[in-house]
Amino acid sequence: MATFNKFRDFKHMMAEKQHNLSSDQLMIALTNTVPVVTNTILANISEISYTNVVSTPVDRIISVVSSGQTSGIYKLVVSDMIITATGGAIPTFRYLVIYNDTSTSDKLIGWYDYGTINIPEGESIVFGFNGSNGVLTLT
Amino acid sequence: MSTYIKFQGFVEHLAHGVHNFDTDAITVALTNTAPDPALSTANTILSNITEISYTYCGSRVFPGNISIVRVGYPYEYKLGPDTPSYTFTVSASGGSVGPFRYGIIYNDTPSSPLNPLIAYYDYGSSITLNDGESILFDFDVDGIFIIL
Repeated sequence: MATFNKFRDFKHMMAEKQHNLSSDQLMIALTNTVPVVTNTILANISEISYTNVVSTPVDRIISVVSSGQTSGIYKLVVSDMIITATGGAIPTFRYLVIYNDTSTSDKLIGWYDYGTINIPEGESIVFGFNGSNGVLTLT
Repeated sequence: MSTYIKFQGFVEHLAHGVHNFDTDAITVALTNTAPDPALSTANTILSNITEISYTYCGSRVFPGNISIVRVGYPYEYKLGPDTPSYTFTVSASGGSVGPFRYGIIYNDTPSSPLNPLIAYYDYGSSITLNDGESILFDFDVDGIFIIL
């Protein structure tokens, strides 16, 4: 199971009303360059080409299953993401970055390190985000 | 040393973009009735608090903004008043204030939800401020809360 790493600025921006994890459009980005905790916006990430990427849900948009608290513990739970290579191989990538496509400049939230991934034409990979513990928690 | 108790719905409000601690008016409410920290998120608002009369109470709004300062190992953010030494004073003037036992921190700026609650402090017993007396909220080292 890959570990979720928060970008440092995410917590700061959350305290300044820059994220609504319930209603904003959250997306994934793929990169083969290790993210840095001090990165703040999507432009800081060297994304791969998405020419041959087809995703479910579509367009790499994350489907939020729930965004709420129980007993003072907030969880963001999202559905799995399937990435399929269509029309050719997907460039090698290692890191899956979650960002807020609604926020100004597409602010970064966190990332996973999955190790080097190569997806040939016609093949798929499923990113099974943690359905019970959620992508992230706040206490 | 009073006890800090978080309202459980606060974390959901935080994740849903309700609070802007850089610009919102963070305010103290006083009550002599024990708050319920487990209020549903929708009910984590000031109207569910039985406040005392503020006829003789000075300002309850934190002076200045709330600072968001990175502390400790690199992912911790401390939030506390901007004022020197992270202190904040509420005073009685012209008469007594209280009795009250709980000091509640809430955000006076949002309209939806209206005046969401953040946390409260239990002083252990009821307090009455006589005319000219003050109570000091001292957040010094720890601020109001820390986001890890």
